Amino acid sequence: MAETTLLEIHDLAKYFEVGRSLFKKKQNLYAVDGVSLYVRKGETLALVGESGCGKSTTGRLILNLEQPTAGSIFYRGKDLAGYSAADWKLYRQGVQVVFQDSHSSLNPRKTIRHILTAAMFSSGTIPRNKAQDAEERARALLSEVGLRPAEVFLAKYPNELSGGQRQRIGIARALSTNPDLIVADEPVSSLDVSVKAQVLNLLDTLQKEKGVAFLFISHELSVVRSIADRVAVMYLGKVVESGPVAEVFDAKVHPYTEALISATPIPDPDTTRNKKRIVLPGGVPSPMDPPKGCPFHPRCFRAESKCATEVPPTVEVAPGHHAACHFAEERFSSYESMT
Amino acid sequence: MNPNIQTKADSTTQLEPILEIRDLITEIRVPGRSLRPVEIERLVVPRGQVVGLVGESGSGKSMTAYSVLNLFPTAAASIHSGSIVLDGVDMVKVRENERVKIRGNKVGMVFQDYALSFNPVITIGKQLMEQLLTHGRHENAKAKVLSVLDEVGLSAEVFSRYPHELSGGMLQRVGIASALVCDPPLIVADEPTTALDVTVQAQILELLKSIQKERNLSILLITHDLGIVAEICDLVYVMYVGQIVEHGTVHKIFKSPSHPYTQGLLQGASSVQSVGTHEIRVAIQGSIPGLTEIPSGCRFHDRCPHTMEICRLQQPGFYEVDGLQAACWLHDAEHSHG
Repeated sequence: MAETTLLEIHDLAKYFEVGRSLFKKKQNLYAVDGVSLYVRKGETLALVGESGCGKSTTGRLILNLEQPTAGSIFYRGKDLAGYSAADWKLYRQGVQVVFQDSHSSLNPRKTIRHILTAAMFSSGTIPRNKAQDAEERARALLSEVGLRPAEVFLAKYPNELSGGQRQRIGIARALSTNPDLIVADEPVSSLDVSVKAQVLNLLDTLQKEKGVAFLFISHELSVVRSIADRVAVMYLGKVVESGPVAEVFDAKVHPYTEALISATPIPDPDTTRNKKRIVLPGGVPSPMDPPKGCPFHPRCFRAESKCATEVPPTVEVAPGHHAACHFAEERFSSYESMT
Repeated sequence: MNPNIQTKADSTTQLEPILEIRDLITEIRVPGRSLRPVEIERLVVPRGQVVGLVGESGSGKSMTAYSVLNLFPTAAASIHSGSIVLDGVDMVKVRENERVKIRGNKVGMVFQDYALSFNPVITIGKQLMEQLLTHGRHENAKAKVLSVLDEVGLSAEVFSRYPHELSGGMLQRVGIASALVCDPPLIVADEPTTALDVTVQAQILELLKSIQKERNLSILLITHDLGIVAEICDLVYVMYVGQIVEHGTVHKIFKSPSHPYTQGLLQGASSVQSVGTHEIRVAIQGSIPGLTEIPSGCRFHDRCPHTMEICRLQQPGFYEVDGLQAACWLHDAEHSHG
């Protein structure tokens, strides 16, 4: 891969063992099943899909919060499997996280000062005997995430802050180690419309200023459309389509992408009432017993007999734009002829 | 049902709204003081229409829903004053034993999350039948439940299932069935699709639309999602810190909103259709104030980009602007700069 690639994952898989008991055979839950992705320096890759598609597990695997069943993760060209203790230390500074629920991810009994400085000390960004440096850095970070005057916020406890402010603390904490990649797992999903735009804008500004890359995990396609450079759509533990965000949202090569976009209401009565809507039947099948062939075929409006038996290969329909569908090329050329 | 009431309702369908809220104040008593999450001057749901009540969390939209049923999640909350006329009956004035008869029969409620709303050890069918039986409708109760299940797109087999055997989308359908089982003319739906995935949400919205048409239902839909409002509502009320700030038809609200808060909400709403990448518009600064820190004058003044002197001092009344009603001083001839 090119010089600019920061993180690369190959055929990553995570199976959870479930239902093991005296009377039952153990079963596998295929949470992530052969995912390959890459994130370039300074870009935002969005991971979208419905609940249970494996997008959060993928994020947790990258953060080393879960151990992969198979596959590999490369950070700056080096496989995580061969990491030494010193490598891990650098990795933990370089790859940070922002969680969805800022309420449970900040310790309620510690001040913001403690929360931010503890992250710098334990990651080794600032040595423990340089408390003054850490405090100054915490102050600067608070200003950067828009919490001013910083002195006031340093002394506060998480419960004294609003949801939007707490999420800004989460972002400041992630930034405290000077990371080059932040895994943001639904960072704005629990925020209100007006606050959501503020936090998204903050993330975008920080990216421009610091060149940090984001793996932005979200179920909200409208949010992804406005913040991401590239997008990967997941379904039942697999990436079904990936590519530049505008092209994926316009071309909708994979029928699932098309269904997701068509199901998302548009905040404009004329447009949303006149558009063609694809309503998929049923719900997402159980990841314990995924369908044979193409995992999407039981709900797909384009499915033919071979979809039930043959796993579709992932093909590159345009530079950097991949889709796993038997009709990917056909669908992409019909999109091209329309534009 | 009394046949006289039926004919009266029929002849005045166009005139008499199914629900009319006037001067409603709902309060929550906390030690030493009382908070007022809802202060609504007027809110009307015409018959056969879908009315959206939109606002951010903390705007009091769910408390408004509870007020309509006069059924609150906490004993500390109650209606302080005002009237809520539901199909000709004032829910505030009538006694509780009358209200019990009205809930379910005149108004059904659809909630956000049914994962914990049903009794896990009783079958779906029994739980739906219970409603009919409490309202004294013993005849053909099972047949009625089966027909409602069919109406919401569930097979008869669901009747004998337990809640944990159903998916989130199916449970939401059961929730809608439970609101419909006594054939009420009005449904209050509080964030009915918020807990669902987007493809399932699309199914539920289609279902609500078709049931609304077939039954000529009136729906008060409470949501924070402007996309859903655009999709399904006829009229929209925008709520901010307990008060209505603007209302009107859905097309007018989305096309030319007159209140700065509505304008900000709509500008900030991201869409799958947005043109440029990295295009994020921040339309409103700050966040919604809590009930203990309600600003003086217009409640939106400290976040508003057009604040004037009068906004800090006095609450605005409603002004008609291009067919919309907006509570904003900008539209007052004396105070506006234009």
